[in-house]
Amino acid sequence: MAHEEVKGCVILKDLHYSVQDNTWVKADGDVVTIGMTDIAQSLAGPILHAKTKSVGTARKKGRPIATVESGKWVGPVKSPVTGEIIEVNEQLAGDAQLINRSPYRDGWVVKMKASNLEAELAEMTTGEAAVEAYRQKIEQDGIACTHIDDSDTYD
Amino acid sequence: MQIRFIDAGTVSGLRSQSIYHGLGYAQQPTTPDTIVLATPGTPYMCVGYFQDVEHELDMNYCRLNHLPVIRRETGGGAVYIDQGQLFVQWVFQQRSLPVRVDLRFQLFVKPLIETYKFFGINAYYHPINDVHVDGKKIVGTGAATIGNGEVVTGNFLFDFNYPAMVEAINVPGDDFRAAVRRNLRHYLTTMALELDELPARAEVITVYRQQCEKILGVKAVAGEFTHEELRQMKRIEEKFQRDNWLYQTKRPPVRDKLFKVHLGLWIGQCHREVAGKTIKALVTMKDDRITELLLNGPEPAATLKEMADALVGAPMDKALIAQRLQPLLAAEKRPAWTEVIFRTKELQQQQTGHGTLARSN
Repeated sequence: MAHEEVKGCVILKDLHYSVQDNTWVKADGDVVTIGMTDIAQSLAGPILHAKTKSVGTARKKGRPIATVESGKWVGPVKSPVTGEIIEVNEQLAGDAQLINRSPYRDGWVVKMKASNLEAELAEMTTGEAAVEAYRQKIEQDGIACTHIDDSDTYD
Repeated sequence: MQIRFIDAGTVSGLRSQSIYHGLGYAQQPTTPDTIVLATPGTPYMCVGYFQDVEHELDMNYCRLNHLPVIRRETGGGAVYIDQGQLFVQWVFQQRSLPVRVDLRFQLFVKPLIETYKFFGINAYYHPINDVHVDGKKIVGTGAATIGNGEVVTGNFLFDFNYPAMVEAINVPGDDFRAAVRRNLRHYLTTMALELDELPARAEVITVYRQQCEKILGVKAVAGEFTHEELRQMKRIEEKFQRDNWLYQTKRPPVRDKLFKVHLGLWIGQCHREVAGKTIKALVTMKDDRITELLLNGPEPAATLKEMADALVGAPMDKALIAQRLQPLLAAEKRPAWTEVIFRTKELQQQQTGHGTLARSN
């Protein structure tokens, strides 16, 4: 999978990103998989708990789809799209650090059936534009990503 | 630049929690960065969002002693709160605070530390998010994103009701409770303990406001809550009083128990079954060293004492524990004892995470 690393932060070029909220989206028709970015997991630090909203919950873009707690921060994962949650990552309830170890694969958060996907994807960034957007954010905010043991590698 | 500075005075226990939630949920892009100071007028126990109240608290004690329990939407552990504390709550725009949570804490504690120093308390930052005085914690802080608001909270600790805290928590036995009592007394301090005479709250607030202006480079303008903020506070208060909110998080029963005094100081009690008998270790671990150790099991009392004596002061290292037990125990007994003693470290790692926060290059 094509990717780029900026100060240790991995950005996969085939995903769409809400740079402001540090979430990613992978679309398959009108079903999207949503997760936290590598930058988000780094900023949060080791995640201790993650609780997703229930299947069937309707969410507007920007509303929380999950709450995560790291050592001393609690916050929402905000939905980058509007739609209904159709599946949640049950593994996170028992192993929230899956988000740290595998933010783009096993640590996905929810799957949603999106209702306004075309327009909302157009508001996100992807490919080289996403890399550039994150490069600026990383430089501006003095971010460098760190990874806990057994984290995914990207070749 | 200006920020809004609200001295909310003495408020109900519920309101002392709902303020920062309400401000977070009501925040709009035009809302000014806001600092609120509030004194909880009535005692209560407060637990973190992800905690199971019945695991953390002795709910019978709380009921009998008319101690309300509030589950906040932010993280961290169970804590006793009363009028001995002056809450400091920042609800800022995302753009106004460092993105990195460790830098956020460092900024937040600066005016607190300078204010403590002004009154003669030699407070200093203790990473990641505590303020200490001579090795003792005096401020604990927390951070959250609530609505659109970036929240950081802390406190001035005028006084602390140690007995109420010790009695209200759910612990596995008297020895554990005694260890909590002893270590809280040794490693949690207050302004009352550090000073001959307590300053007036108004004086503390004045100095704190000046320090915020200096450190943040802003003018702190006295303000009030908006109608929408008050509406959100009431909404949160209604939610916090519902049983389905308080008891929302349920975790399976666990026999082993861990209690945090501060980030470097943990008390753990762990068990193992060996050949039909229970072995138990009550461990106090400070800065990754065993400082207190009480062992129970089928070994003779003299052997248990020798084992504890051999390990108090030692680093919490599995190989080293096994090595020190080697002259005292038969080979087949050492693995289980090593594991039960080391288990406190494993629980601490689970609770704090194995990794580290992101650091910039």
